[in-house]
Amino acid sequence: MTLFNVGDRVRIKNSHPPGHRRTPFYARGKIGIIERYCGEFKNPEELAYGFDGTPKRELYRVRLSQTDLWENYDGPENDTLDLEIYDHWLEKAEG
Amino acid sequence: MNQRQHDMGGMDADPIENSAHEAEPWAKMVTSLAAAMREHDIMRIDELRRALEDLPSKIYEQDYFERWSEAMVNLLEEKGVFTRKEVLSRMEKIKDKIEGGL
Amino acid sequence: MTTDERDTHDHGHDHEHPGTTPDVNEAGYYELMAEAMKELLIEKGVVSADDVRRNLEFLDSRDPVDGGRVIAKAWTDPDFKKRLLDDGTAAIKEMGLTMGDAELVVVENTDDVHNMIVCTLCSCYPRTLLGLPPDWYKSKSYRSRAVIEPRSVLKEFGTEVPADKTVRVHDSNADMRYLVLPQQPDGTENWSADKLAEIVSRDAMVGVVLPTAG
Repeated sequence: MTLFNVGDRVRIKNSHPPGHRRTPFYARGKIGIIERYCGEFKNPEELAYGFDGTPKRELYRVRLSQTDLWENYDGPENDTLDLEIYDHWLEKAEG
Repeated sequence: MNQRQHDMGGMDADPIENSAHEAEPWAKMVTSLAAAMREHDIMRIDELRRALEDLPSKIYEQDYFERWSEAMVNLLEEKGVFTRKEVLSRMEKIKDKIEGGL
Repeated sequence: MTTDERDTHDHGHDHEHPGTTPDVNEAGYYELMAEAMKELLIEKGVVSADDVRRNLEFLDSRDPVDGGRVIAKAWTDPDFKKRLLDDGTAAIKEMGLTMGDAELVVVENTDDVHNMIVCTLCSCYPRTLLGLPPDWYKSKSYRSRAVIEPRSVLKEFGTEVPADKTVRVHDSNADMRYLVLPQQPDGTENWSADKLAEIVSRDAMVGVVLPTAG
């Protein structure tokens, strides 16, 4: 059982804590769909400061629509972007 | 909170410069040192990335392997492996040796 | 650069003298730094000379040829292609190739989708399959623009993707590394895997150009 399933609508948290983060600024607060589950990985936010990286985090690939990501996206509506997000940066989105 | 220097997605930037340029031997040396330290869990890639992100912007904007070198020195100093002062004085010694033609 | 190579340089300058502290603006500053780090790390027993040599050899042995072999095998062996798309890391192991610490995700170009890879946060790249990334991949220009204006970036590489085809950007921002499986060019249907591997360029596997039969 994973926290999220393929096809789930998720919001990438709109949070800006200091420190080493692997959630790009441009994706924070955006809504996408879980494209695949990648497995469990040590948490880089902890590894970066010498901790052991546990508990491991579930890593997902999230697919977003480019026109949702960028206000003035200069391309067709069906263009998409996929990126990897750890579970603690994700929350279920309504709808 | 502002977008940090390394977190570049969506920033304004120039056209792509597509030059064919091989990594120089010293750059490969730096890469290999980093890889060897990763094998021994002395320096993780996550720690190196963090050290890169925390570099002053003037240094972050330098060549890729130059900023790797600076970040490695900072990180290894933090870990007590060596000090920046030790590195600089060793550099001076090597330079003298070369200039002395020894 | 080794000490021997530097020793072949002309030392007849009179404006430099022994005992000067290296200056960051000086040519060769980072070569000195690399050499100094290597010496100190070995002296202190942090890494061995053999560790360094072995890693250097591995680095030097990596180039896009292996990536090209993977793509050519996928074009000529449908079962392998299925396994490659399903679990890239496991599939390349069959060919004696490794991803190191990361996992491989292979993304397939089709009539409807064109894929391209970027790492906006650093410069993550499938180094074990393609070697060190090219300068443009590490540049601020590519890292900034590939996500917000991929079609303009592709045009700068001479690649025009029709509007009815999805451009799918992959930000390689965590534990996965990516390889684009391009569409096999027309006119190469009867080619051997060896011959096909030769037309698969590094840039085609990053997804900024398309392979051609020519």
